[in-house]
Amino acid sequence: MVGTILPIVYGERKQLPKIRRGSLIAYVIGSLVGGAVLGIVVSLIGLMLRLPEIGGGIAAIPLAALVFHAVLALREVGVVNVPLPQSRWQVKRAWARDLHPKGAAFIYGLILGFGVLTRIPTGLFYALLIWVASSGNVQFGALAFLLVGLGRALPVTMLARETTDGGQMFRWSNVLHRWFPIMRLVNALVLSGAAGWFLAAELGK
Amino acid sequence: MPILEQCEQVNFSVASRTRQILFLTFTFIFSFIVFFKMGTSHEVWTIAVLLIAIDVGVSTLWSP
Repeated sequence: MVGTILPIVYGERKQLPKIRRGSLIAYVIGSLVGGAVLGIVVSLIGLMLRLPEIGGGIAAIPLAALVFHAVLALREVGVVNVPLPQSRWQVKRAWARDLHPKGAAFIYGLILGFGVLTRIPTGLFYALLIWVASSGNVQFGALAFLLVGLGRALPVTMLARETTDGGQMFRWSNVLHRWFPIMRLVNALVLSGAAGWFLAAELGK
Repeated sequence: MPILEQCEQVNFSVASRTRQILFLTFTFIFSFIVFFKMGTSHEVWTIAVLLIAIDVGVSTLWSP
């Protein structure tokens, strides 16, 4: 994602700092809006499927949830290979060339913030989808995925500030590539902790 | 020194898969003990989910 987004906010062409800042703000707003919309959609789907009525959401079926989260955790560290549904589509780099910089940045933020239209790099995303869908609370869903959008936008904002040319952008890509297994391990630990929570919920009844 | 150069100079190796599974097992047991003693309140769960949401967002930085 860095290779696509940073040129938008930095500018493959020489851009004035004002435009660059405007693109960054447009990207962040797009990301927040896209995330909140996904949260609302997922919550509404959960309500339509009556997931919360099963009895208080996913916590009501802790054993199934435990197994699901344990499998996701093992998947993160590469022990099991469970294919999960995801789109292979990618945002078009040509938009950066064809559209106004701020408009392109907003659309990138909106689509990437929506999350499910592009590749999903972590199993934790699926867990969050199910937690939100089973919460039965549209405001909570919007807030949760708005925070996903925020978490998505913040590192890009910081990287944009630290990047001054295309060469540095590729160096950042290499650094991030090295850190990919760490990200997956951290998320596996979170999923493992969630599995422990579900076992405690089951035995604590 | 710029942050980029500092990040490039950090040397680390990812734990072996066996160690990773041990970490996961430890986290699972630790989480179970903590929440079994503390109780699995809805408030704790809500706060945890919101914090995890930020982590999920940061993780998408690694999307291709």
